[in-house]
Amino acid sequence: MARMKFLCDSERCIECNGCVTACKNEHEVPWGVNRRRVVTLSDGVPGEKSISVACMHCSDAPCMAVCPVDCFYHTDQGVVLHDKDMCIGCGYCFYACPFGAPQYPQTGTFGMRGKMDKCTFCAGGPEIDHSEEEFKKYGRNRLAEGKLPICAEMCSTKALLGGDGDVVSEIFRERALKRGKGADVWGWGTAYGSAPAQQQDKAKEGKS
Amino acid sequence: MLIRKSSAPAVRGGRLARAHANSVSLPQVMDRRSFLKRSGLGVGAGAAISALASQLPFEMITKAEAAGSVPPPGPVEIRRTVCTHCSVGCAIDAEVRNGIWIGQEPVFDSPINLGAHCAKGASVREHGHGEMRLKTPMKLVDGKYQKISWEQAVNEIGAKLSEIRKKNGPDAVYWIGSSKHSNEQAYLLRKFVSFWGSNNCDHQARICHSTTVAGVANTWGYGAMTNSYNDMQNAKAILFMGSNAAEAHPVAMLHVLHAKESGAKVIVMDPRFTRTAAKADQYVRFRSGADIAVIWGLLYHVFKNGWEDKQYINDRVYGMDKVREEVAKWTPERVKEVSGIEEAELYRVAETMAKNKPSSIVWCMGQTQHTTGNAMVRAFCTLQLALGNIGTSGGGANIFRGHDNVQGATDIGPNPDSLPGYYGIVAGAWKHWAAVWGVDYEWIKGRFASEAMMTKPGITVSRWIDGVLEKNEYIDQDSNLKAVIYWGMAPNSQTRGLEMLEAMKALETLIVIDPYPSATAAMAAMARKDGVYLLPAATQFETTGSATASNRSIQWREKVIEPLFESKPDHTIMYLLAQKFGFEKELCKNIKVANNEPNVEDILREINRGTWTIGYTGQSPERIKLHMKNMHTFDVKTLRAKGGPCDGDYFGLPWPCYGTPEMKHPGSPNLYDTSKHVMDGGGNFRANFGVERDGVNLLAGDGSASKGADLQFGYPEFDHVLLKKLGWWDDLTEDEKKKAEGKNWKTDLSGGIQRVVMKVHGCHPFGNAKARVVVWNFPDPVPVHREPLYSTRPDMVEKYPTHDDKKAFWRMPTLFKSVQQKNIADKVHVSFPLVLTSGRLVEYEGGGEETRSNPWLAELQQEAFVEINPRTANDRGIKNDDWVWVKTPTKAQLKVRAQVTERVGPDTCFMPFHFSGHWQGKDMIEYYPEGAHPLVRGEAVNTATTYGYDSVTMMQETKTTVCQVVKA
Amino acid sequence: MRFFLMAAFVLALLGCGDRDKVAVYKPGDYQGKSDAAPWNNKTYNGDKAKWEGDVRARGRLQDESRRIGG
Repeated sequence: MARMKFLCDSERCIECNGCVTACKNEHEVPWGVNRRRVVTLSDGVPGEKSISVACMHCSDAPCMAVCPVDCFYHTDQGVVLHDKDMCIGCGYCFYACPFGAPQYPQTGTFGMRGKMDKCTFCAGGPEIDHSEEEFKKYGRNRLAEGKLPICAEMCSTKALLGGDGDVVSEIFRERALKRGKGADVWGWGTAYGSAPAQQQDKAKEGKS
Repeated sequence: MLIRKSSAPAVRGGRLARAHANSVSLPQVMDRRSFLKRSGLGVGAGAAISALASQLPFEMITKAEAAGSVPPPGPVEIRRTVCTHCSVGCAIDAEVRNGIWIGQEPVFDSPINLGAHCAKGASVREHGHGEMRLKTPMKLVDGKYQKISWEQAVNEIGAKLSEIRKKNGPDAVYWIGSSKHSNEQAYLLRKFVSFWGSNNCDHQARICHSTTVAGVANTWGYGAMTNSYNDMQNAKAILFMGSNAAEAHPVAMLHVLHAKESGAKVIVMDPRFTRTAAKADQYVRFRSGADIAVIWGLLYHVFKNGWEDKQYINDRVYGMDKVREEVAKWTPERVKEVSGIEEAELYRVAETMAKNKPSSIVWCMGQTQHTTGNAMVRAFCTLQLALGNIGTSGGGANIFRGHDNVQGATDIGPNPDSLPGYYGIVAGAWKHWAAVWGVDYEWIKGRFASEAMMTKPGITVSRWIDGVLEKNEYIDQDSNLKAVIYWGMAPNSQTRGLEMLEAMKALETLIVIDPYPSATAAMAAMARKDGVYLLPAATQFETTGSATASNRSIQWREKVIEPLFESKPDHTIMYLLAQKFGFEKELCKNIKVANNEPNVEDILREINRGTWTIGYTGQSPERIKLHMKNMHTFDVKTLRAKGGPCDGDYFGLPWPCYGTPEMKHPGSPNLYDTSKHVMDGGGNFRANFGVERDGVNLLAGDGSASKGADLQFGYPEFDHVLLKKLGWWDDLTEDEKKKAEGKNWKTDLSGGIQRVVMKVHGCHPFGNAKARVVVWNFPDPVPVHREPLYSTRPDMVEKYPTHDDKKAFWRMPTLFKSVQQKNIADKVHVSFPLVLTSGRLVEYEGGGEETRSNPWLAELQQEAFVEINPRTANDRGIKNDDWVWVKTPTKAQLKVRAQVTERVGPDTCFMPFHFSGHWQGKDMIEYYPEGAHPLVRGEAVNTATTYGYDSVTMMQETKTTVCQVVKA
Repeated sequence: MRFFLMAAFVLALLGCGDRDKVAVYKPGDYQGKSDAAPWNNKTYNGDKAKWEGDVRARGRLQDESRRIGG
């Protein structure tokens, strides 16, 4: 069974924002809502590193645990989705999320939050696949077309990988072996409870 | 049937457009940089992100709207096109249904981008939906733009320009073409201006890589990137100097980082710690404008340690001894004094480049946009020649061009000093092209003011404002400029904005032809009440044609959608205007015309028939289209097809692709590469500078020739005489003989000379010579460090003064020393103690109106800013995100946000050059046609940039000028 | 006052109610909402194996080394 994961290789990420606009384009996400962002550490000084961040579709997703209306669900592929018809825009998931992924459009009146929006791993949501409703609420459903998240597919340096966790790990492992060092696979431990560290160790062994 | 992103034409852009239609002020979303600064990756990120929530409605959360206007589902068609935002040439598959661009898919098969895109490339579908376009022809009436019909626009423009032509002569009109035109459009525009009767035309290349083109062509033959983005995978060391590829050419970094992970060392030398620097093994900061001192400092270590390639220099380089004399002066102490670089740092760079061969260099506008740009690029070429890195896979001078087709427009487009293919504008060149065009040379001559004006290089785009404003007795043509046509070019990419506004006022008429109104429309409406016309042009996604990427590969774009609104393709507009001027029949003699649209394939075939000099002859539309369909068969590292219908070809038939298409030359992946046969894309340096200089042989040394050549020594270029002397004449067919008689390899329209020389004898048609590091026809034959006109270092100016003034240079008086000395006398360095430099952001392109009108990009960079070092900021009481005034000696002042950052040193300020729409603190929104202003507006750095031009090409100085920054 | 105390107490008790925090996903039947597995559509006609194979192959396209060949 395929388990979908994201991985961002900070050795490769050049903060070009291709992932961000690819997502905007694909799902026609409105201004002010960012399902994916690029964040940079040590901006402008040696050691500068960038990471592309979105919902990581955690194995044990904290958003699901705190949602008061149970609008979240895990698909069989490990994608965390939510039902916008149920969401009350309370913001709990935002406080729970270690990645700051949930986004809330403000609806205008009294600064009320709108319903939460986040990355769907390009898997649509709880509407009929490829329906107009699904697109309007959740965006395009690439997974049901046999395609993967557009952000990863269009990444300028192939820093962002997305897809079956085994395939993603394999690509990254080979890359890390070749260059002799793993990168910080930021967020993997938090999201998937498993160990990019092992891969780094393997890479180190490969080097020596 | 899959339902995706469909919308009726009536609701083009739908949600996006509605969200922005009335957004005069944008939501106060935190910009990327401050977001980064304020957020940690952990807890802090949350709070920061919450601030990003928009005040705009988010329809994804509402009940889906009744989809009443959804058209009946039709089949989804895939149209393959190429991104229009930079010279990498990233392929795009557009999904189109019922004529609407509904999706964008990565092209993993492309050997150039392998599906990858940067922010700009990943957002091009917006072009099919954008509302901020110029929608109809418009005319400025009483200070406001009013809609007019195409018929009225063309009639009035035609009448006005004809009147000026009659009254003031054809040279009174200035045609600014575009590096965003397709090859066919750029070529047709040069032909159009020729038939108008003038050489007064130019395009972005003037202010982007003109110094490169002139510098490298005069060093070794052709004015282009020698290798390719892909070939950098074969490099063992890569030195970036004056290039910020991570922002300007992000997909190039796919190849660079792959090379790095395979062991290549990456070095970045730049006044600014760029995002490319963040990925480098070594970063070296130096004082802006000190490039020649730095490169000679590198060569100092190379020569001192004997790291140069002596055999290579002996066989393939002329004049290295003269360089040694100059380099000997550049001791580590002196280099440090001028550039600020420590000896050990520079030694390490030299050692890395010398001991990890093949090593490659990359430069961009950081080197080209200087008063000494032509010399800087030649110094860099000299370094590579000393190391034996040119003509080698993994080596080369990898000059990343800017616009998607700036290479093509340079090669065959509207240049003031040359007809297509660098033939120049001497009588012989005109006769060659007249023959190709099938028109009478005398007729063309009759269109010009005189034969002298026909062979005199026109005014450059960097100086058109002086063509308007300069006293008539000082300019080298009869009339001042009375009309300017901005055809796909931004005004804010040219320096001296304040004076440009004055020039716009002084014109009789100004015409803008562009998909977007562009800053030209807004500036013009600010400057005047009438006499301005706007014509909506289609983007490259709304037409078809070819584009030449930086690596000289030519790709074909299929038409994705029909022209939006009332826009028309540029070549159609050319035809309509030609009709008004009465030369449409001559313009399209060999070109079919349907519905006023000249046939694009026919134009390319005409280019094929005439452009022998640089091998634009083998790339027939059929061959290029075949490549686009079979991308998967091309190898990524070599770009060569393995099997399949394109077997043996290099991707996009990178020029030179000599001979007729039938000769099946595969294109040239790496220029001057002697390790390959000429019919395998091999070559050698060009014999273009004579055969002897001061008693020294300029031809290549014995044993140095391309693989398998019949002549394994240096030889001159081929013509009918040489062919006969060698006894090769009878290798021509009878028909070829007739056409080749009296001709040379560049003018033989049969292609027979090229065929015989290459296919039969394995030789290079342009001869086999040495590269020259002494360019005796340039002001500084061996590059010499000279301070910029506006320098913060009077002590350096005294030691390294600039050139003497020039009187008639590209028809303009051009000042050097008098400006520099006046600045010293006026103590400009005291009032303006900071270096002002400019550069790119990944989200925007060029003048930026197009990309700043795209909400997916605009959201990421919402304000113009100046980067300033913390020390400099603190000394001025400036905090991060404060509003500041950037002031320059032109008396211009720009109100922008301060980004306090260590990216720049304490002596330097950096501004991105993509902004426009604010003028010295004032929003220009009211001057745009209604509803067509870019979403993001800001101060254009070039409103405030100063005077200063390259001594060969009239490149403008933008990279080293001066400023002061004060809190607003 | 008493009413408010009662109300507060009831609310507090409600807070103690321990529900399963992780929703269980049932393919095609999620709390009354339709969401099918990605292979249950016209493209894949329920062929899960084909979908999984396609997605793995598609994933490998992100590995530039495969395209480059080392």
